[in-house]
Amino acid sequence: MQSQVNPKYEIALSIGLIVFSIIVYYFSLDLPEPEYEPLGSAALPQGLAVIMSLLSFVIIYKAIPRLKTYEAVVDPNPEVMPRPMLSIVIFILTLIFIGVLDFGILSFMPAGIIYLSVIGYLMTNRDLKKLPYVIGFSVILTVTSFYIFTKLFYIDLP
Amino acid sequence: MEPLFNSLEYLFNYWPMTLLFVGVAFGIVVGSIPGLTTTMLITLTLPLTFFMESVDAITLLIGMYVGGISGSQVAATLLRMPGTPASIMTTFDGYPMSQQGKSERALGLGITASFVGGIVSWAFLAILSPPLAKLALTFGPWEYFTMVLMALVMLASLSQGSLIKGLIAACLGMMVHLPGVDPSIGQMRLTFGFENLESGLSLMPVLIGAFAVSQIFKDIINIDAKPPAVSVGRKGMFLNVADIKKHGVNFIRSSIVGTWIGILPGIGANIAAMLSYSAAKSSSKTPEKFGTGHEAGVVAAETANNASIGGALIPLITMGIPGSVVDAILIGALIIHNLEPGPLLFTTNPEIAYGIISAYLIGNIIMFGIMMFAVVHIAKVLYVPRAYLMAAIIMFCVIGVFAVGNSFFDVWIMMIFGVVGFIMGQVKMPLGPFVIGFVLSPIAETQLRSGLMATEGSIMPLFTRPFAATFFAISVVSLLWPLYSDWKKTKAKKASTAVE
Repeated sequence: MQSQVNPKYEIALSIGLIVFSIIVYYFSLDLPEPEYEPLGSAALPQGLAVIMSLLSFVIIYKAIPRLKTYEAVVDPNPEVMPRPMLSIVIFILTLIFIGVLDFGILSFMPAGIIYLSVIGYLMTNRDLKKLPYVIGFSVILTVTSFYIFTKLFYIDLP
Repeated sequence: MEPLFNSLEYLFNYWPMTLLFVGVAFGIVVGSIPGLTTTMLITLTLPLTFFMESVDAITLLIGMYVGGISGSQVAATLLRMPGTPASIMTTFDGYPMSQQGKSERALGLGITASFVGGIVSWAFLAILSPPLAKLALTFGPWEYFTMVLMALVMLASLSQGSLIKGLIAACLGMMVHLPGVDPSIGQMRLTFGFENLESGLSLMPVLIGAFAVSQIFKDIINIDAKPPAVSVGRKGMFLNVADIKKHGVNFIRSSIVGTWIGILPGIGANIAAMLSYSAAKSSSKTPEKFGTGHEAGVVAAETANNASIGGALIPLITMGIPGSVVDAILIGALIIHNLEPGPLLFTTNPEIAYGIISAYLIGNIIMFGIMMFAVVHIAKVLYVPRAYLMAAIIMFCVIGVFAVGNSFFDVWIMMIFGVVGFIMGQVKMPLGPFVIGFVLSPIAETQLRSGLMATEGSIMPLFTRPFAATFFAISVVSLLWPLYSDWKKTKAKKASTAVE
């Protein structure tokens, strides 16, 4: 059965894995030689790096011939329109939320309420009628989480 | 038997029973919602269990495991959208039955089948585990190393996608566990100058990132998808004696298949359901009816996927080897609670080993009760607004990971592994071998190096020690068989092209 995955993705991932393997192999060269046992600390990283590189080359070898023949299957009338951009935007907003907490720009309560309200608004198709519900939900979830973690589990959220 | 009765007695206390009930109920609800998996639920619950007694924590997680696998049949039957991969085979006959107006009958069959599968595999779990743990005490490093090897290779070769991708995922999982202290000699390695990496990457951020975060961002892409409205009643859900007699052989056969597949390291409920379905079809007098709304299809799939849980728990509590991805996470839970999974668990912490066995039994009974009486309401869970659900899960991922280590480094790591998991999903690289590789990597390395130290570098025990040789042989066959099959298929294809 022919793989349905875009061969370009497979090649890109395999190249990434090969680079990662080279980095692991390179840094494991500094590890000291084994003294009390035959293998030593470097054996596993080096072994895995070599195996992973070889397997990645196999993926590339198999993907190259499919580059010319591959055609992405696109549904002309999808039941639901996929929203990849929404996923990317929410991922970026999540990174910002974590950064805000990590660097102490805002504390958990305000940051959580703003973050949840914004992503909730985006995920409900920016429907202003739903915004009050989204904000209410954000306040309840953030405040409840805060009190559960700080009062029940004794974890100080930032 | 006494420790088993003691742990059953403990379970009937207010707090553990509440946790088990909550675990099963949550499992059923989450399992019912397509896109949310049992693995995700258990992973997200792990940080909360950090504050519980070990036995209670395991009880809660086992409840979720049982509930999650059983609950997934609801969406599979009503909407042809399996709640978790374990119920893919249920869609083949459950959904057509539902389309023929027999939703209640399909659900009743599926719930009863899940219950029977769970009880039969519990019997195997209770009977086989103590003697197997004793046997495992005689195992040395070579046996353990080859067992881990077998788990990784079997999972890579049987999981979705190609063998090569499965092996890459396993290698990647093992590599991710490398930074930090070398488990054999205490030497620091591959920290790349980062102080935070000196204690290695924790299990929680890697798991939550790979399973939960990646899944959420995948689900957000199709957030506007709304399931069609389906109504379910209660009439006809309970099976009568004639039904039990009619499906008796199928119940027993599927339970045994499911338990056996569960015992094999690394193989999950979806493969168990697939093989059981094939066995039921090939032994049926009317195989052509399978796939058109045949009751036997639902029974085979649902009995086996639940039976596989009990089977998978056997290697977990006797040898510390995960029978499935969820079991790998349960091993992580034991480690978080400073417990050592493996044969010594029966000696050092019998309350945990027998607690798992007891929770599995009672969890199945609770699951049967909840699903039979509340499936009408559970079906409504399918229509929970996704936007609120996703927002709550993302928030919980961030707080949960932060709570375990009180560190934002772990939260960033979680996001990185969210991306890794997402990319792996896009190229159809299975996550199972990745997680099992990550969990088992230190065991494999430590045991191999101990073995080599004992034999002064010789690998002869791989061939001379009976158990090690058997596990090694199974690993080699599991590795070569898919390659041989591929080669054979390609050859046949070339031959047919030449004839044309």
